[in-house]
Amino acid sequence: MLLRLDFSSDVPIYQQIRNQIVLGIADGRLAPGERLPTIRALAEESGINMMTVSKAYQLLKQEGYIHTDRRSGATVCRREGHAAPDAATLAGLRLRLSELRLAGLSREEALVLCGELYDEGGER
Amino acid sequence: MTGKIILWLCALWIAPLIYFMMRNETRFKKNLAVGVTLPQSAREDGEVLSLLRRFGRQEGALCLGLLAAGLVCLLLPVTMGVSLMLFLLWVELCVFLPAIPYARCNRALKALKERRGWRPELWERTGAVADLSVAAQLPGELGFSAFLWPLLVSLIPPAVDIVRGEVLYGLILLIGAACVLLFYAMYRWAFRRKAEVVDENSQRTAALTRVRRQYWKRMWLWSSWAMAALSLGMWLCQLQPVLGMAVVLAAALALGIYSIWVEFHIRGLQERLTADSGTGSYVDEDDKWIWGMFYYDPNDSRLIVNDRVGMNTTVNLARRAGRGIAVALAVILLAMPLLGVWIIWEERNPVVLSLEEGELVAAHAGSRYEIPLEEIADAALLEELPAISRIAGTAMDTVDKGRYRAEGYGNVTACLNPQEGPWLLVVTADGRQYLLSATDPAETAAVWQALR
Repeated sequence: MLLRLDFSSDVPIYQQIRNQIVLGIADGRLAPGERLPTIRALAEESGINMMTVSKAYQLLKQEGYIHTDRRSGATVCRREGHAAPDAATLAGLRLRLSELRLAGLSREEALVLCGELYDEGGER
Repeated sequence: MTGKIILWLCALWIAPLIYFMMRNETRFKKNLAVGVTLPQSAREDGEVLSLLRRFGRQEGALCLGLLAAGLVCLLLPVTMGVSLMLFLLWVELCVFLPAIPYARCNRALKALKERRGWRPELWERTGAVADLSVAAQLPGELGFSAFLWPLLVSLIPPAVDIVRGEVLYGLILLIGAACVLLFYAMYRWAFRRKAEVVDENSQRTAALTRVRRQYWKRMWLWSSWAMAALSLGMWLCQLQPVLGMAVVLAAALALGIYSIWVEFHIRGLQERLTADSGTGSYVDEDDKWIWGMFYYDPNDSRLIVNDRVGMNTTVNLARRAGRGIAVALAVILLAMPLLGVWIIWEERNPVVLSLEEGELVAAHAGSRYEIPLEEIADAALLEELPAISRIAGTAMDTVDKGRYRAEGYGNVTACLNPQEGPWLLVVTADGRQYLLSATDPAETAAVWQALR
């Protein structure tokens, strides 16, 4: 899976790493149990600071997307069963739906769009 | 004349080599041609192909011009110093001139790319790309064990010489072992950790990365063995000069041929592995490469980065250390002809032999050898110069100075005119031996008379 970082974006780099790994897990490009690069390797690979990568990994670990181990490094977690979306996800979803409503989409059109994106598995 | 012919014949091949490397830039590899990332469809584009053909023709004409200039310089009736200065100027031209058509073609291709709408979004051009799957793979063994054997072999000659009492020559031969250690340090420091990401195909990225890493290690390992062979050859030169020189030349030749083969072999592999790339999403980092040659990315914390094709390495000019290294290299390259000026000064200065305030003084250019008269135990005038071989010092048509090994006399300190005798052999009370003569034979004869 290719990680593409945009240095001109307002989104912080650690957030971009986190978002793209989440998208990768959702669309199957990153399989459960798959090993991720070490913090140092990813920093060297992308030319960014190790602290930035560390921050992204900590966030992913807190959210339960990855598991870190001293010997095997970081691996993608197996996500079993349903997990209720957290408050931040709900707030984000509410904001995006409001934006769609303001853009003039009806309830049905917004739901169809959401359904399509869901079926894509999170691909951009 | 022989020295000049050897000097020029050792380097005339540089012009065609650079030509073939430049011509190779027109073949698409990693979606790149002459340092510009282009889509698969561009490989059939008439205008692109026309620009690439024109670039090839320009480089060909340049190569022929440089070869002709080299041959003219070789045949010029000038001294070794002047020939060396011309030679170094010619090498500089070989390095700099081919870059001009390259930069022009690079600019033309970039303009065409813009017109055809082949440029990706700004953030894609300036952002960073990493393949998570390939980056997660371990980079492989970086141990010292493979370098241990060439190190041990290169340590044998200096160890033997030091045990035999030839300390100076032994210390000089230690340079071989030091170079092996330096090569290992270079291998570790500039290790190809960065994956060769071309597009979304992780298997392709992994294969390209593996190729580069393997040959990176092999290159430094071969260089270490060549350095061990050079060390052995130099050592053999003391006992069997012809065999020693043959070993030195064979090692240098083998390393040169292997380096060129590796560069073209890797380029060939890169070409084959990315033959079907350039469709859909692919990596385009053209904005980070000035004229397609110099890497400048302020968002990249790395100092050393891979060249885009082949096996070489370059520096990130956005880093202060990178700019420092680039400036230092440019200064060294531009100052190279000054070496020729220094040699001219050395060969035009006469060797002077004189008696000054109770001392026998032999002087040449910046060197001065002083022997107090009361320390002289014996002196002889030689009508024939014994065969001498240099340990450390200067050897030119007009002067030999420094530490030499003289047949039948052992180690001597020399400061003499090798072209015309007589020569003075001076032995001091503590056993040191000097072989001296002035550029003007009458001066040598006068000093000999005064010593008697």
